[in-house]
Amino acid sequence: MPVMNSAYNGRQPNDFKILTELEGVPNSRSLEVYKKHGGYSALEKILKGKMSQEEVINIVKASGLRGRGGAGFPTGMKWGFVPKGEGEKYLITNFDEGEPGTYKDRYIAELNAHMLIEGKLIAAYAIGASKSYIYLRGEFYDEIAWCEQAVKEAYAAGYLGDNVMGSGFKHHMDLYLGAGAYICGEETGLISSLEGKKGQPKLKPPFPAVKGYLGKPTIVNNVETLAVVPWIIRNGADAYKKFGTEKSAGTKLFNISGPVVRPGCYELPLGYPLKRFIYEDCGGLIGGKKLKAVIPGGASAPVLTAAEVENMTMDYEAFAAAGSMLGSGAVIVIPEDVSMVEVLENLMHFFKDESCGQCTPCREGTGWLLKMSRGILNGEGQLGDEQKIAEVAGKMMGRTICTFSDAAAGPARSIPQKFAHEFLEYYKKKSSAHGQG
Amino acid sequence: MASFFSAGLNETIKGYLGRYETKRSSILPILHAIQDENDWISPEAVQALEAEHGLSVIDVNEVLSFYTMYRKAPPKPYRLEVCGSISCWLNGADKTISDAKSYIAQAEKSGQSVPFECHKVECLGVCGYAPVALVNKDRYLNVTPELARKLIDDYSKKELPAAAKKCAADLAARAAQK
Amino acid sequence: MSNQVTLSINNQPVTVPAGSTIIEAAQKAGVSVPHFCWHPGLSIAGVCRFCMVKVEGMPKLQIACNTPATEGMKVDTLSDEVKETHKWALEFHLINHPLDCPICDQAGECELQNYYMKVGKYQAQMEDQKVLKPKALDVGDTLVLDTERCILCSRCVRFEDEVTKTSTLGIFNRGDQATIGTYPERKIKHNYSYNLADICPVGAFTAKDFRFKCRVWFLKETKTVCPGCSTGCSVNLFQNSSQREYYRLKPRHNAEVNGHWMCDTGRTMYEHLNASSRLASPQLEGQSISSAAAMQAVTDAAKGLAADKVALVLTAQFTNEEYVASLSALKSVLKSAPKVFIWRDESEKSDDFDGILFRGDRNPNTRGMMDVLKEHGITATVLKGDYAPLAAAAPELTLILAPEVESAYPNLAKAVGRFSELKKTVYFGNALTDSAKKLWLRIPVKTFAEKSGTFVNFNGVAQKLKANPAVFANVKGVDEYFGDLSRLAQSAV
Repeated sequence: MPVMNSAYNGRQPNDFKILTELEGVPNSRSLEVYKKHGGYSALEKILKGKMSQEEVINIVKASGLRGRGGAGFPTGMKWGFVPKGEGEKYLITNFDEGEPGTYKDRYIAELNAHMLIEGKLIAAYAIGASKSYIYLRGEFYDEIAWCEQAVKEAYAAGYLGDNVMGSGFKHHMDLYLGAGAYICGEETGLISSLEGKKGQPKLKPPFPAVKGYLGKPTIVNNVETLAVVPWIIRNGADAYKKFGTEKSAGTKLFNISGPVVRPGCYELPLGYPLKRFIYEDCGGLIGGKKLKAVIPGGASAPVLTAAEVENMTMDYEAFAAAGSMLGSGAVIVIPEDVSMVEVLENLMHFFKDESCGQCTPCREGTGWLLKMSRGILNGEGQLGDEQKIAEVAGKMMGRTICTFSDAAAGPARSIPQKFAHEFLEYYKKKSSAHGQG
Repeated sequence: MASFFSAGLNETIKGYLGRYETKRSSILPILHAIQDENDWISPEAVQALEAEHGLSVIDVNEVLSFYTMYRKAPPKPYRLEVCGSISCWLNGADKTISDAKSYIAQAEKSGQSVPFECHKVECLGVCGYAPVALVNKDRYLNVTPELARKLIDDYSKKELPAAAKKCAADLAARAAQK
Repeated sequence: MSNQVTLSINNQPVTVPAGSTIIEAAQKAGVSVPHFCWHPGLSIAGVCRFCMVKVEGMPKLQIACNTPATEGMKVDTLSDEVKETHKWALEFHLINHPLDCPICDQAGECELQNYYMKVGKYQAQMEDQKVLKPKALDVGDTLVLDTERCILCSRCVRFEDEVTKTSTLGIFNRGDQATIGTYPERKIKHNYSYNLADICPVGAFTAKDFRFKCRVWFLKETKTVCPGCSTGCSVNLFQNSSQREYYRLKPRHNAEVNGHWMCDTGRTMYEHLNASSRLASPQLEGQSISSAAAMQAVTDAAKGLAADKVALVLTAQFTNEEYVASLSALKSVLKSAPKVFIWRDESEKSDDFDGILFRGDRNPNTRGMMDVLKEHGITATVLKGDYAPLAAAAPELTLILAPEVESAYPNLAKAVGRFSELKKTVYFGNALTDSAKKLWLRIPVKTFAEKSGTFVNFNGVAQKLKANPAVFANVKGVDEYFGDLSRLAQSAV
């Protein structure tokens, strides 16, 4: 099996190593190395210190940690929604990384999957779950192997089982593999998939924290969210809050893609300047090309123009203020010589392919958006078509069970709005073709 | 009556049937296991899951048809699956795909049998090293047209994977039966 | 905590049980909220996204089918924002729909078409090629499936999962390729299949037994009761009144009896109503005579007979009113009650029940008949396979109220053969069967569709039949014939 090339080729060392502490450490994936770097001491602190569930949740709440999968919901608050008391509860890790541009969760597994396992154990303890799953996308063959190995080691070392570290806390963990469906990254779609069904998101209410997997209280957390929890427990909420901004606390893995000189996963404090990230950390665009646009948070984030990138900072609030979103921290760089109409068509192809087909506006709308964008590319467009795309996309927003439809609408509204002039070029091509015809 | 599945596969299936909270949860892993051994999931396999293991054909078929990783028709021994989503596309995935497809087509035109098929797939989740591709379960990064051709050549020289051999044998047996 | 909540819909207050949804509250308030996937007899899917309403204080519109009604909630269904959302929801449903209404059997009762007339009426906006899917699939003995017309509301899938628990349908593939269907080569095989055609809001499922026979706008519906078994489902009976031709039955919601459904056996209860399958006039020893002449013959035959020389054979397929009329008439004519027998089919397993609606007692009014007999202080003898008790009574005259639904009496011919061995036998029934020809006198009667009256179901629920004009103008109901008998006997005195 070919070996992954290092994700941090050529990058500068920095002071923000929470999740990436093991970068460059030999044999980083082993349990020994993890323990040498404080691994499982957070779990031990909780179990030996007989911390209450409430105390654990409060630390996570105080840290300001927000979900790193895309929605940015406060993690501690989410855990707090699980009903107290007896009864089966489940914790599921969303490792269905598939938002175009995103490859950060797999990087955590590449560094050391024990970060995730320890984080899961802490979360499971906090919500009172004795069973958890890691839901991995099926194409992640290497990452599956790394996680399997880590779970096996954790069982052997007594971190998993009927009596975790002799504390009486019981926790079992299993892997579950997806089979090719982006929508399983949506937490209730993931739950449906784990139930052995099509990965179709579930109607809310009820919310999964109350009625999730098999109707039992269930928390679904992203890999990055859980992997950072041990550090927070070890170092305290205040230490974590030292990073980032007031509302966007901590560090985040930013993954950059597109033609940049030094692509990779970078751990940076939230609030870090986007332009500095692209040009200084990542070395700018290949061949010194000019920047045309950036999709800042994965394929569903509305696009930013080069001008908007100028003073943008990478945090939940700044992106939201610009009408976009931090999402998964997937920064997709689009150079000057790429047509935004083609970008739109590519993105619409993705959303059309991945719509689960359950809700009418999404099922029908995604196909419609693709047909319209493709029509323009094929020279069949006419003035106003770009506005029609934005309009149809607008009517798909906020009207479906999950936010996939809104995700598709993100680029389908922002590209025609911000790059209308590029569409005009295609309409002209049509008229000139007719003129010759 | 003889089982549709091999003894080993039957054991694996039984293991999954008892592994999760509900029997239905085992559908996805079982389909993966069948595909790993047979290279695809035939209608006969779906019916055998119902007849031999009590999984409803409707439930199984819904899952089978929903997820893109499951192969519903007999494939060629090697699948070059190139991501065509935004990041890979920005880095030239379309070129890799069209080049690989025409490379295979041309070889076949000249009478060679190429144990390869090439597909465009959606995001494979390693977007920084685009274009990303899989050859069966092996992942490759920065797959330029040149690398794609090399992969096709290199794999074509190897001994066929066990699943591909089984798939071919099953199809031959079925043809003989008819 | 109160178990009722009061909310307002379009400023109109409505009180509903706690736990109700907005759409249920709206129904109660008489406010129509457009919907496709919601069906009151099935679980909530929330996928069509049509029933969106504005709830004060909520930033986004909410689907009425899955939003709980709460105390003091203010719901709006009329604002421009809501209307615009409904219009777009409809547009999304229509863009890939084939719009083949002129050749679609659902036209006229298609919810997509109806809503288009109500909230749509605009030029279709998508100019691109529609998605193509399989059409005219044979999915069973009763149904045809057109997956292109399907709007994927999933009502049929839920029906198969929740009502019949047969789970024969699924939605395969995803996105705009999602397609409804059975597993290849498998068919829908159960006694409730026509409900799928009913609940399908569009023309995806159509009934083989009805399609292409008659446009629905030519049909007039009558609220009545299914005579197919002792459940007595509330139904609507559809007739083309200008042709006097019956085409179908559909269930009518009755929470107490059948909920939203009825069985396929019940759906056939229109077949025996049409002229082609019925005896048109009385037959005396094989010769057609008038109704008046027939009843004169009965009166003459009864004249001077002792009550115990007259036998009345009842089946439980007539109305309470008809039993009362026949018993009263005979009592007054004979000065005492005749001998009464109850004819049950030999094959009947009256305690059978399929767990949904269909019962082994294939008679709609067993309970009503027994009640009437009890009121008249009559003890009846049951004839079930063994006709010796009737023969032993050696009646001079036997009056038989034969089953209207002959399919419920598979051994009818055998029974009629035994009756034909008796002296004068008067057979009130529409049988065209050869065996009945041997009987002395046959008198056609009104069917359940042509008479008013009462059926009492197995559970004691009394329901009224509603009369349509009779297919044959000369044919009367049993109560009318026995009224004639009374009059004729009296005038003879």
